[in-house]
Amino acid sequence: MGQINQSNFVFFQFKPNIVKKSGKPVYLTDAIDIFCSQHVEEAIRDIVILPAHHDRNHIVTAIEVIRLINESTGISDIHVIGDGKALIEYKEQKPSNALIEWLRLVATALLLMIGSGLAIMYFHADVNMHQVHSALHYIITGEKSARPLLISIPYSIGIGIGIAVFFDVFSIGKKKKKPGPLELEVYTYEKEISSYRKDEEENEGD
Amino acid sequence: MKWESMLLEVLIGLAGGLVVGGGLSTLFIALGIAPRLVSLSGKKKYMFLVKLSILAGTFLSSLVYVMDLRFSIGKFALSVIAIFMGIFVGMLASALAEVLDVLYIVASYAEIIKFIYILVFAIIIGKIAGSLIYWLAPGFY
Repeated sequence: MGQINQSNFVFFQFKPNIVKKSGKPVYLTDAIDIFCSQHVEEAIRDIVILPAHHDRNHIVTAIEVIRLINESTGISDIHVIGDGKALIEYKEQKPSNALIEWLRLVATALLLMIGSGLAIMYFHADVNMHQVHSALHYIITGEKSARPLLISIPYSIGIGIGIAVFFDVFSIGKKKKKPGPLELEVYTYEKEISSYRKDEEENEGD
Repeated sequence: MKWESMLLEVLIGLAGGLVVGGGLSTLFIALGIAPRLVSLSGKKKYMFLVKLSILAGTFLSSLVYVMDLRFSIGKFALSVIAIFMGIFVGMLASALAEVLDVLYIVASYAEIIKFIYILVFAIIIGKIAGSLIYWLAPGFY
């Protein structure tokens, strides 16, 4: 008796990132995490919410999910946990080419390397840094020098250390307690983009 | 010099200093340099030390700049100071770049988000090389 009672409810929540790959259908179980009894899980395993040929983003609502589960199992005690709708993001599957990816990486790295090198030169020239270095050299050692390399070379190395400290590169690969600034940046950006897409899709649906 | 004009000069100097000092601290905090250093060292209770050192640093350096002071503490100290100068400028430059989201935009455009830290190393190498070229190659200054 107790077992029958237990089998009469369903709890589900949407998975955070639902991706529709081209040429493959999205099953209900791809989109939600579900808590229910074994036979309900088996009953809903084959429900498709997006057919294979669908080729754009789609918003799936909790109402739709509830209807689908109800139609196939007859259960009416269905609870949503969390958001009432979720975005199914369509992603075209490009054949990933390792060589092209490496070329992109090299090109980007070169761009940033040359660009940041140039930027630091502009900066030094712009703020007349050699005057400051010469003055500091005079103040500290008492000798006049037009090219105080004793200050300029350690300074240049310091710039590299400063960037490394800022991006916290020393803790790459370690189990980190805190996310670095880059992780945070990537996280916020992706979140913003996904919430933008969700809203966009909803507006188009109306 | 009349006392009125002296008073005016003192007022102008004080007002200018207030604005510059406020602006400078805001810059360091808004760019996330001071907060990041505090969070990296993980010592929140020594927060006053951060404020104090920014204060002392700016005050001392403006004193040195204005008053024609001279410390003969030798060349080794000079190089040590220079490393700290560089670290700070490096942090400042990365903070400025980060405000503009340079790294993320470039990496996502090229679809290489997972390699984003390699790009950080590219920037480090680029900055050091650029700076060394500026100081060592003839003709820049």
